[in-house]
Amino acid sequence: MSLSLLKSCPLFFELYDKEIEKIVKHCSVYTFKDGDRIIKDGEEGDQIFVLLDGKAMVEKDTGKTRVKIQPLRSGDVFGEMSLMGEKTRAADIVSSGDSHVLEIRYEKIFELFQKEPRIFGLLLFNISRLISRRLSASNSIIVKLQKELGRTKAA
Amino acid sequence: MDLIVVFAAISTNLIPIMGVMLIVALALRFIVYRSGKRDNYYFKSFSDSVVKILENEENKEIENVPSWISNLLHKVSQRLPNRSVRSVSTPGKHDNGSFREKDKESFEEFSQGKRSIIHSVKQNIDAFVSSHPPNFYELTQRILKQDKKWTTILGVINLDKLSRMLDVLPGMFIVIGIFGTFLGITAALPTIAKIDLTKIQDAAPLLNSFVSNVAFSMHTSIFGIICSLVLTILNTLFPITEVRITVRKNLEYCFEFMWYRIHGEKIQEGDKQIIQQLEKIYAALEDSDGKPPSKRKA
Repeated sequence: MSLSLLKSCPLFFELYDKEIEKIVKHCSVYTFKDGDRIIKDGEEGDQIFVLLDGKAMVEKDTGKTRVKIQPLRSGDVFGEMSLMGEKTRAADIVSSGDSHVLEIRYEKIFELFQKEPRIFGLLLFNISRLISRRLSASNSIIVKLQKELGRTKAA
Repeated sequence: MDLIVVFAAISTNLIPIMGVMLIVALALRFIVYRSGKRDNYYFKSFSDSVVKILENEENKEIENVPSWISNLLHKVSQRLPNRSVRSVSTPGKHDNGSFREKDKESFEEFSQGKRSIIHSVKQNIDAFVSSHPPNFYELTQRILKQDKKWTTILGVINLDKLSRMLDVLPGMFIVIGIFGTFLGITAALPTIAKIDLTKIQDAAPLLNSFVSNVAFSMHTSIFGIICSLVLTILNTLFPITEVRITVRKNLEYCFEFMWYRIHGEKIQEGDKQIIQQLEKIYAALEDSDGKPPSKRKA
């Protein structure tokens, strides 16, 4: 199995090739066309995704407008909140051009808990890293927005 | 004495052992040849498609190289033949939602199937972006090494090592045959020692046994030569290494073509500037004394 595609993915950081192979060998890859919704806001899901090839955009419908939150590139992970018990998707992920997405099911990851505790531990640790990094990025944005709001009010 | 028995046993069983070796070698050879033909078709389709697309394309300067390569590879991927990898189908509850079953494949199929070379080229995109020409031989080797079907057969056996082994096997069969013959003769020689030269008429059965043992041990050499001949003929008629070299060279040419298509305009522009500068220098030298530089005295 060629794992070079997953080398840059932060989800598999510190995992050996054999261990990555154990995780992905029964996983599926989906192909999406430009504008296809990979994840729908509000939909329930129990999968985590890795963008193998192509680009995508995290979008949120605010009722009046569609806000583009963040672009995703190959190697990026999304849908990881489902592993933490948040079954409902919080935003749309829309494919920009052709993209290939690896789907890892919730039960496949939790199967590792008993069979491969080291892999399971590292995987959850990597997911925690990802979430904390995103949280930190969100905090920076909030601070920036608050400053801008303060400036606007002062003006 | 025990050693003699071991030698005799080895010599007796060497022909069946060589027979098994020959059958295994023929089977592996067949698999390697088939996989070589399939790889040749696959990689040739890739290089032919790239060359055809580039030849038909308008020759203008490329500004965004990664995007241009992505577009090119996207067009090429639609022309590539399928490589037979069993796909894992696990119907899920989301099949009726935004996920379409027809767009689903296993990770193995995705990474090693039709788009295998596309992924490898994308991972080595820096070599094409760089304005310094890469070592195309090294680049091709690197890209090919990422293809598991190119490097192994049956997903386990290293193809380079196996093809080297198959190349030396004809010689090995001859060596094994001669080795068997020597072992047989060594095992038969003590029979001569048992002959009582004072009773020469009683020596006939011992001599007969010696001659038949030696004759039998000769069979290993003959069988070794036959095996060697069979494999040598097959190696000549259906070469493995040559096919692999041809595939590599085709691909190397294709990557070279791609790189020169990307940077060719810039190189031409650079050459033009050098020529202009040289012309200016020549004109300046001519102006200084009215004579062209070539007609001046040293």
